[in-house]
Amino acid sequence: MIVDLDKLDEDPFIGKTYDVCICGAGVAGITLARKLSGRLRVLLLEAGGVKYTRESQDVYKGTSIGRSYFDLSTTRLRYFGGTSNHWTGVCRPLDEHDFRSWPIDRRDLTPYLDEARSILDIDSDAVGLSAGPLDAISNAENLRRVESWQSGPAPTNFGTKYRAEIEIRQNVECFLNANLVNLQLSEDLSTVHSGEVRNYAGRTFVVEAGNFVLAAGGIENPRILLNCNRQIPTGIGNQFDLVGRFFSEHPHHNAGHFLLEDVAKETIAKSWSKKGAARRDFSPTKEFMDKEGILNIQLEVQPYDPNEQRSFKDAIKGIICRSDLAVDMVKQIRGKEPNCSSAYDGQLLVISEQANNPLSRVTLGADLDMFGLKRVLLDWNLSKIDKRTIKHATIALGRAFADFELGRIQLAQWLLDDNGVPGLGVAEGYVAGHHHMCTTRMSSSAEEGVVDKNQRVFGTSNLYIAGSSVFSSGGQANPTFTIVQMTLRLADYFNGKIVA
Amino acid sequence: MSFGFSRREFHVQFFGAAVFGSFCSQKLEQDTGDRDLLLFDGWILKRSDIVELLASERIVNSKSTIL
Repeated sequence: MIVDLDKLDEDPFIGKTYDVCICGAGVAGITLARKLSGRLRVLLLEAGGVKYTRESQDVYKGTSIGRSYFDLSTTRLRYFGGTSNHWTGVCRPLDEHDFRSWPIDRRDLTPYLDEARSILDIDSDAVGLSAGPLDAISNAENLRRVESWQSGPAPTNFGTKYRAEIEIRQNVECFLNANLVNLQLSEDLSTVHSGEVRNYAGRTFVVEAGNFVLAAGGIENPRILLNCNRQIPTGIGNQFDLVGRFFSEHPHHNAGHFLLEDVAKETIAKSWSKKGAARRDFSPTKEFMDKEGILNIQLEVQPYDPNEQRSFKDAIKGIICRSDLAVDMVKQIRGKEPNCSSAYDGQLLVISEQANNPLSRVTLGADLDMFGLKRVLLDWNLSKIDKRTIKHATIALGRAFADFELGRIQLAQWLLDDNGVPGLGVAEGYVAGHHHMCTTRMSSSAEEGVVDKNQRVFGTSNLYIAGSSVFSSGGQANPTFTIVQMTLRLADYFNGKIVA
Repeated sequence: MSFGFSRREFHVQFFGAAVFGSFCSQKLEQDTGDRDLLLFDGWILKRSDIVELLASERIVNSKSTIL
C-alpha cells in the first residue's frame, strides 16, 4: 500500500514494529523494498509525494563552496522514484579494476547482472553503432573500447514502473510525505531503536524497526547521519570524521579536438546517419593505468558531420583556432574566445574517475530547512591526479590516432601544463554527471570508511546505507547500474542468503 | 607517413606557429631518443610528421616537448 502521511488523522505506526525501515523511495529504496522477502515487514518512507512539489524539493537547497557545481536543489529529485525521475538511462557496470579500493570485488556483484539489466530495461548489449574507422583504436596497446547500455525504450522511471507493485505488495507499507528527521539510538549508542518522522503539516511520528536503511542519495545520506546529533554530537557513524568525506563525481571536460585523415573522414562521411552515430568511447587498459599511475576515464571521440559544407568563414576560423596565440589575440579584441568547433573534424570529451579526496566533502551549513535540520554544504574538490589522468589518457589516444592513421589530436590548452587540478568543466551545465558518490564509503575498517562490506554503518548493529554513497570509489561508469546490483546484494543479505 | 588529409592544414598551422616563434628546431634535433611522439602547440604528433614537414618548410625558433 502507498499512503499519504499528510492526509492521515490517525498515527499509522502505533503498535507496529517493522523488520526493515527504508528511508528514500528512489532507485535503491524501491529496489530493496521490492526484493526483500515477503516474510519481512517493510516500511518505505518517501519524503516527497508521487509528484514534484516545491516544499519537498526545498529541503534539498544547500550551498556549494568548492569547485563550481550544479544547484544542489536541482541535481537530485525528492519525490517517489527519486532521481530516476530525470535519469537519462545510460549505464553499465563498473570495471573490474574499479574495485581496487573496495572490500568487495566485481565477482560479488556479477550474480546480479542479469536481474539489474531486467530492472533497468536493458535489452541489447550496447548502444547500436555500425563499424567505423575509429574502431581501429580498439587495437591500440593501451586502450580498450567501452560501450554503454541504454535503458529503454525510455529510461526506466522507478516511480512510474514500480509504483503499482509497491502498492500491492503485502509486506510493504509505503508512506509519502514522510520525512525522517532523527534516528534514536539505544543507550549504548550501538542500535537504532526508532526513527522520528515528520509530515508537512508539522506532525511528528515515531517508527520502530529491527533494521534501518538510508537510501536517500549520495548527498542526503551523509546529511541525515550528520544531523542525527542529539546523542552523538558529531553524528551517527562519524567516529572517525569520515561521514560526508570523499564526495566524488564524474568530472566532464573537453580534452581537445582532432583532425581526421582523408580516408577516415571519407569513411565516416559515407556512413554518417545521424548526429553522434560515429562516436566511439575508449578507456585506458588496467596495465596502462597502473604503469602511468592514473585513474579510470572514458574518452569520447565525437566526430562532427563531415558532410556539412564549411564556409570560407569557417576556413578562416580554422586558421585562427589552431593557433593558441591567435585565439588569445581574438579573445583580447572581442572579449571572448572564438567558437572553434568548425575548425576541427571532431572533439574529444572525457568523463573521468575522481581520486578519493578527503577534502572533497559534504558537511552541514548554518541554515536550517523547514524541519529544523541543517542544510547541506558541499565542498567539491579535485586532485592533481585527476588532471594527470585526463592528460595521459588523451595522449594515449593521440598516439592511437597517429598509429592507425586516423588523424591527429590537439590537446586542450588547459592540459598543456602538468600543474594544478582540472579547470572548470566543458561548460556550465556540463561540468559533471550529477553522480553523487562515496560520501559514506564502504571499507574493511571504520578508520577508512563509514559502512562495512554489507553496507552496515560501523559502530551500529542495525543501520545500513544503500545507493552510490557507499561506493568506495566511483570508477568512470554511470552509477545507476551498480546501485541496483549492490541493492540486490543487500536484499540477499537481509533475506539471509549472504552470511555476514 | 603521408598527410593525405590535412597536410595543407598542418602547413598553415606550422607556418603560423613559426611566424609566432613557437617552434624550436634545435630542441627537436636534441630529442632523438626512442620516443616517437612529441607535443607541438598542443598537437600530439609523431616524429615522422615533423621530419616530413621540416623537409618542406623552414621552421625556426620553436618550442616542443617530447612526451
